[in-house]
Amino acid sequence: MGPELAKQLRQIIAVLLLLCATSATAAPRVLVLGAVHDDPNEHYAALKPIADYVAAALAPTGIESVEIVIVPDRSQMLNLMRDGRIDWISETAFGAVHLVERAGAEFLARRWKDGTAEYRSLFFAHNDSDIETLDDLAGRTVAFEHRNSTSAFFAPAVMLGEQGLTLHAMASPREAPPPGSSGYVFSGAEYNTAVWVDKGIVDVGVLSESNWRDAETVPPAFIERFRIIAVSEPMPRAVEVVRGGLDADVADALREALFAMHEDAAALQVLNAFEGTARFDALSDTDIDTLSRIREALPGFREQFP
Amino acid sequence: MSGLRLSLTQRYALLINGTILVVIVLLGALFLNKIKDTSAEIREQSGGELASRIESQLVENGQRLADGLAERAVNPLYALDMRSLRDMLVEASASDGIEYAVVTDTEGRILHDGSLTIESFGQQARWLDVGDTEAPLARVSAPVSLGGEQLGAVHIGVSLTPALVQGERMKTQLGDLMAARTRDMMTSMAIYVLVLLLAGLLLAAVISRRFATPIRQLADYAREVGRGRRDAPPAMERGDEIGMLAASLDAMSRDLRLSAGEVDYLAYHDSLTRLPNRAQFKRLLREEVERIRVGGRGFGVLFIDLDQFKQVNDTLGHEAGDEFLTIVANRLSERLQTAGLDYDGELTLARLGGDEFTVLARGVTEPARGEQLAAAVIETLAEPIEVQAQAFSIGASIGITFCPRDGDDLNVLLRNADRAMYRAKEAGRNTFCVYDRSMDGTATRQLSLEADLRDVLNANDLTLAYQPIVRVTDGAVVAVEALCRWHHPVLGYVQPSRFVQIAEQSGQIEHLDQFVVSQLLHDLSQLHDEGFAHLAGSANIASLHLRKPAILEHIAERLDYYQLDGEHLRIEVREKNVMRHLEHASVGARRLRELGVPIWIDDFGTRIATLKHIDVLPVSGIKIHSEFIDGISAGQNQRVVAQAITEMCHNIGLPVTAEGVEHQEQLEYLQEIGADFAQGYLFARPMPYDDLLGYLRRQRKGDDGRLILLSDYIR
Repeated sequence: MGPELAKQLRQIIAVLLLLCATSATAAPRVLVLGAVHDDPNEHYAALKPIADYVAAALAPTGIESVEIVIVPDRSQMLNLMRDGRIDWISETAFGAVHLVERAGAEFLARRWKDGTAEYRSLFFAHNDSDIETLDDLAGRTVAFEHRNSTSAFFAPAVMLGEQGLTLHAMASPREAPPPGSSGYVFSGAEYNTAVWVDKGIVDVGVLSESNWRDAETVPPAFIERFRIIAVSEPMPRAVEVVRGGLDADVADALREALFAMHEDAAALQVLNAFEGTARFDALSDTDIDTLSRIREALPGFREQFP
Repeated sequence: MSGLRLSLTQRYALLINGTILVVIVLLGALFLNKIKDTSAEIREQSGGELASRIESQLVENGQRLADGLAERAVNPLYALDMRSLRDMLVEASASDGIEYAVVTDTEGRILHDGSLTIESFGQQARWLDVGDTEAPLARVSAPVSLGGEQLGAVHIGVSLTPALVQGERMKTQLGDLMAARTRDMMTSMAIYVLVLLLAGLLLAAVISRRFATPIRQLADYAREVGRGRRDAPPAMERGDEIGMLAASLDAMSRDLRLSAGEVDYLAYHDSLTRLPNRAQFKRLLREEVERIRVGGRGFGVLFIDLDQFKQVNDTLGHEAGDEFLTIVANRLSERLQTAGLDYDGELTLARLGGDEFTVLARGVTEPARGEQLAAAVIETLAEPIEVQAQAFSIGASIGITFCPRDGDDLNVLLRNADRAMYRAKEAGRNTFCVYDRSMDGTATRQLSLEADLRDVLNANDLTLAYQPIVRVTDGAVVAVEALCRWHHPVLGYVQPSRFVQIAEQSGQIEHLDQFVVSQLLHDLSQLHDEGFAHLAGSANIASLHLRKPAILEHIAERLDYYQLDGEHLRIEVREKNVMRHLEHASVGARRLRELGVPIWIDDFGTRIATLKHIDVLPVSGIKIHSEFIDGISAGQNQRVVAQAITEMCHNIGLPVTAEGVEHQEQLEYLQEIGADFAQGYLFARPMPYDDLLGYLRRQRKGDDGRLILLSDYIR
């Protein structure tokens, strides 16, 4: 399937789902599970089991079904959420804060995506480099992965901002940043980040712990040549948020259902199918703190990274 | 041909099959070689062509891949998206035959090589090390550009190994195919060879049956002819060469049959008169003597010696003498047979030689009957005989003896008859005399002759006659031969052969030889003084006596006395004595050589043995027997003999003198065959010294006065 066709298909499905959802609001008791993904077809399969499971679990509350809406980008999702057409979504820490901040959504639970509750971002430089700490980044270039990445952009970028560094977006990693500031580029892939650092294309790269440990992303040969210069505070791996106006009973019931899933043998397979999730639980204090900090940093961040 | 002996059949088989084999091997080698060359060429070409075709296909495919990659690489390269580049390159590298795939920047430095860690990053792509450097590789690249601006390039290495493998595989397959074809051909060829060889053997067998068998039969026949077989050869009814060979063998066998009889006849008959010769006469005599010993009857022997026969010879020459003798022989045998004298063929007339005839009269034991026969003989010869328009009346002296009355040994009988004959001569010739014992003892004629000879020798009453020897090319006299003459007061002219024989028997031969040498050298010395210093003198010396130093020292002393060089003297030895004595006389031969006196062989050509050994004999020249010179005008064979002797002698460096030359025709022939010297009536008869001197003076023209040395004739 060509990318054009896939895109069209995604749009068609999204519109269909929207239509369904719209009609469902009139009819009572349909919960809409949203997701931002560029491959609705693939992602639908991951969401469908838990959607059905939750639908069953929420039946006592009058919810008759859980419908799935997948959109390709966050701004669209933001709009849908604002319009009250998405009830529940699983997001990264930054995506969750974004929705809470911009669309009035509320944090519901922490999801152990890939079996992990929390993770951190790692700043690394080449062994040959003279960069020892983040303070040495002035006049250097750092590579993030993607604008939407929490661990490989939002969190570390916030951290750099807190460090007082002036960040300057660059079109190409080969450019030199303006004097006194630090340049940044998006590598587009975690592997690219590792290669760029290894080959001296950029000075510092940022990756999540999980990527760091993935030999396909950062080969052991690279690890040997890399030096970690800074580590971020831990942050939740994934965060469940619900629409601000969602019925509190439903929200509670949903939380309870999710929290109980890892104890239900029948639900384990459903959990696993959803991005290797181990369990759902409550956000820890640290998580809340981190999320708060992100939330605080967000306005300035938006200024700095338009 | 040494060692291996092969029959004709085997040779043919070898020849035919050998030829077949050689041709086949040559052609086979040629074909095989050609096929090998061609197949190798086809193999190389086809394999090479396939390889290069596959190669260009591979390169084309590689280029297409590179182009596709370059297009796909635009975005990743622009964004330095290593992951996408890697995915792309991994995918490309996974393709068959792609050894490597890399992306470079505009400087040709590697940005990504498809590996996770990109260890080649920053290296020049063109130095890219590909594991197996031996492996053939095509390097293909395509530029990566965006909006006309080049971002970098994609380079891939296309392995050409498949092409080569395919090419090699094709070569192998073609090679196998060719080898199989060649094997097939070899097999076929082997069969052809076998068939041809069998055909060759068959052909050889046919040839054998057709030719070899008859040839072998003829060869067997020829061998048996050699052993005495005389019948006709096996019948060969064919017109080819084998038929001709059979006919020739038949003719040869016939000739052999004839000549065997002829040889037998010649051995026992006188060639001139066809009468039994001395050998036959002795044989017959011996038979009769044997017969008497076993109780047979007796017989008589008449010894007939013609009176004054020498006169005929001297007057008319040798040939006339022969003719005369023939007439005498015919008349005698006719008379003896037809006049009622011969009872039951009991009389046998024989010619002992010269003018001596004998009659074996079987059953004649009475002197009266013997005398009757003798009288008849004398009467028969009394009638004049006409030769060359001249009539000669000659008489005969006849001696008669009887066996067993007078003895039973054939030599005794012959001697008795001879003595009786001399008695008849003494009695006044033309009469006969019967032997009686009174003729033995000192009063015999024989003893009388011996005594007479001794007398003449002591008195030097013998004389020498000289016959000039001339050079064939110009007739110049180069030498003279001394011939001894004895004129007996009673007997008249005594044949040299006769008194030499008497001298030998009576021990006076040495004396005689000394006389000849002395007289010759004396006369020669005088001739030299007369201005004929070039002349050499020839003396006949019985070689028997060369063993005795006395004659040798006499020669040395006389040469010295007359101050003559050894070369001025020639010693002639008769051929029959050469073999018998000359080798034993090597002392004499050596002494003569020291003196510089050459030895010549007299009467040469009648003895095969001498011919065979001529080159080892210590001789300096050859005198060809007059018999062969006579024959020059008569028959081809004699001519050939003279020529053969001359050539043979010349081959070993011996000069040749021809004796008895009487006709111009003979001289011309001698000139033609290159004979060196000649003597005979054509030039001069033997003559006394005084006559010789006159002759030489007349002949002086063309004479350069130089001694003709033997060395002048040695080529």
